[in-house]
Amino acid sequence: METREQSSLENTPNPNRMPRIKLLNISRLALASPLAYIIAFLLTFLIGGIVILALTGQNPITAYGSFFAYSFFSPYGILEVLAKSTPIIIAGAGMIIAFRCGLWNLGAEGQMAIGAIISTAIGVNLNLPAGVLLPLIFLASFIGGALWSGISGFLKTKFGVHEMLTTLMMNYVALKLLEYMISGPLSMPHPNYPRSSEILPQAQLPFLQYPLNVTFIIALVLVPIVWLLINRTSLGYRLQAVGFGHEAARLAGMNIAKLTLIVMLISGGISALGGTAEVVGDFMRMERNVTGGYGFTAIVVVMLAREEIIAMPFAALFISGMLVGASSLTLVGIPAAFSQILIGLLLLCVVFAGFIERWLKHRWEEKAKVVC
Amino acid sequence: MTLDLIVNLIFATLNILPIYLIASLGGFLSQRVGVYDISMEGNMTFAAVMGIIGFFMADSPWLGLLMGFLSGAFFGLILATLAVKFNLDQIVIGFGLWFLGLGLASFFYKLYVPFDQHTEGFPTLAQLVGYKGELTGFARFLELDIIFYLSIVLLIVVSVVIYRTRLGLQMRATGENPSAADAAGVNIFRIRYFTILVGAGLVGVAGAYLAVAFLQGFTSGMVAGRGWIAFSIIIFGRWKPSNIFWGCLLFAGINGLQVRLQTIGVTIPSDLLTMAPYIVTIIALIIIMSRTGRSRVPSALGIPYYRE
Repeated sequence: METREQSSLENTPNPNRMPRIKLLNISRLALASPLAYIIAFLLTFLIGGIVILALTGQNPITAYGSFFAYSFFSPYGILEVLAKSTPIIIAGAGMIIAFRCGLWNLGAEGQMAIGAIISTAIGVNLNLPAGVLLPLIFLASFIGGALWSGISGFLKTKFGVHEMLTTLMMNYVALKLLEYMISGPLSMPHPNYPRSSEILPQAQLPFLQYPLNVTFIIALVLVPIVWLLINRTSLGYRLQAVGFGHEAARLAGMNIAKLTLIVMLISGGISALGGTAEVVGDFMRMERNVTGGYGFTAIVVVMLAREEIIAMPFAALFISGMLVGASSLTLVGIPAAFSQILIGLLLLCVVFAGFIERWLKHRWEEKAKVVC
Repeated sequence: MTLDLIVNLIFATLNILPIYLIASLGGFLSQRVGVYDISMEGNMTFAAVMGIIGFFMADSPWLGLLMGFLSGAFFGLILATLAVKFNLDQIVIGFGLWFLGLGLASFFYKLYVPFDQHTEGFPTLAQLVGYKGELTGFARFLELDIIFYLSIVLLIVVSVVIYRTRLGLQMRATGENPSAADAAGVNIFRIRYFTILVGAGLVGVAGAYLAVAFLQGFTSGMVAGRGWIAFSIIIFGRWKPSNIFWGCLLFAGINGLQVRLQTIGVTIPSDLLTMAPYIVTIIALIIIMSRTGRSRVPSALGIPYYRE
């Protein structure tokens, strides 16, 4: 991944020179990273503004004004941002576990679909009390998602097939399966368009305040749990060790194949809960767009957060703000797909920020040398 | 009857082949000079819309392909600038371009594509030679459009250029050992820029062809992972044009089978049938990976090059 590769490429300061650098310069070096990020964000919105101006003829400043006013400063908009960020945070939490182990689990979208299918199948058909039904739905979805991404983990350990490609392909398989389910086995009687029946009332989680629902709290609880898993458990230390380098981890006596499999299982299981959350918290049934591309969006979120679990929810909220804000732009004739353009641009600009950061550090170190 | 069925199947297969072949040859070129083009899916999606827009500029499918090439080359320019000039992470750039492509595609679609967006395909070989009669049996191959034949020509051209010319030698050297090639006087940056631009342009052509000639219209999600499949074909083609051709034929065959099975009324739910290409991709990857052969992966693939 970017962060690791780049950190090895940075010019490490000569240790003999280190103590002589003034405190001021050291703190300035620490500023390079946030400064580069700020430049990246400005650049994103600048290019996005040019796109608005050039393609739709709208005034980008008023467009951005209503964009931010809606998504971050209107009560309903904020609730919508929080609601949309829920599946992204859950899927992102699952993906980060794999990414930290150096595994490219890009299958969150498909794992979410599997979670959605299983939750719907149970939620529609098993008439159990809520106290039994809801835990069962979450547990079954976790297991289903885990097995689904476990396939990719197994193929990786057994045959050496790269998990990036298999998880991506499994996305499409799962989405087709979902489409088959809503038009076939799980279809409601006489639907207007392909969708399942509503899940039983006791399986439906309440809204905190529409459109925000209880699953957002689940997402927030998940983040510290994943943080603890990565940073405070032996499994977490081992998966990070593998993430830093196979050879060292292998020499330390770790069973990389077994670890790969476990990590893929946990990662897929958690991501699948994103689909469950959409079914039991928001849609209350299954439709074609129940996964809403959030699993793909989570890829960007994880990359923006540089695989840091604590930073990830903030990245998710920001991206979700873009999705919600862009939907307000449709009123003035700017297609909602503008959010996707911004997300792509943001990722490109943040990569470019890596270059700016290196350049700034290099320049300031040169200056520090002259001062000493 | 059976012969008819087989001919139909082969015809349907070859009809789809150019999409995979042009896209994976384009991606192959980028990888041959050492740069991953992960953005193929997004590139194809945007090029599909641009292709349709191009078509309606003059009711010409050729203009559609040209627009596809240009939009693809634009993606290539971004990729080359960030990956070659600034040596940034190719994978993350690719994902950024993927999203950018999807976003730009629906953006342009909403703004510029007319409501009645039915396009027309390319002339068939039979039309070009002026044959008007009915074609039966294997003569039906004359009904394949001209792009099919051009994509085969492209395959030959790419193979010849890569393995038989000075430029190809420089391209391979750039992908295998850039510092040695640099020392031998090859302009690494120019070679990479040029090849990535052409490669990404070809990926765009594939997307435009898909929209203009094959599906004759744009629907969201129409590329449906074909870009990723083309990317996989390069990998299990072991970076060799001839293998890539067989890989493309395999996937075109599955697509063809899908179309044929539906028309002769085999009752498999269509959603389950459309899963086949993705599952076959995975199976093909397993088979290739478990066969221990000499890997032909360009040694410098994905590694940024710093001039000393």
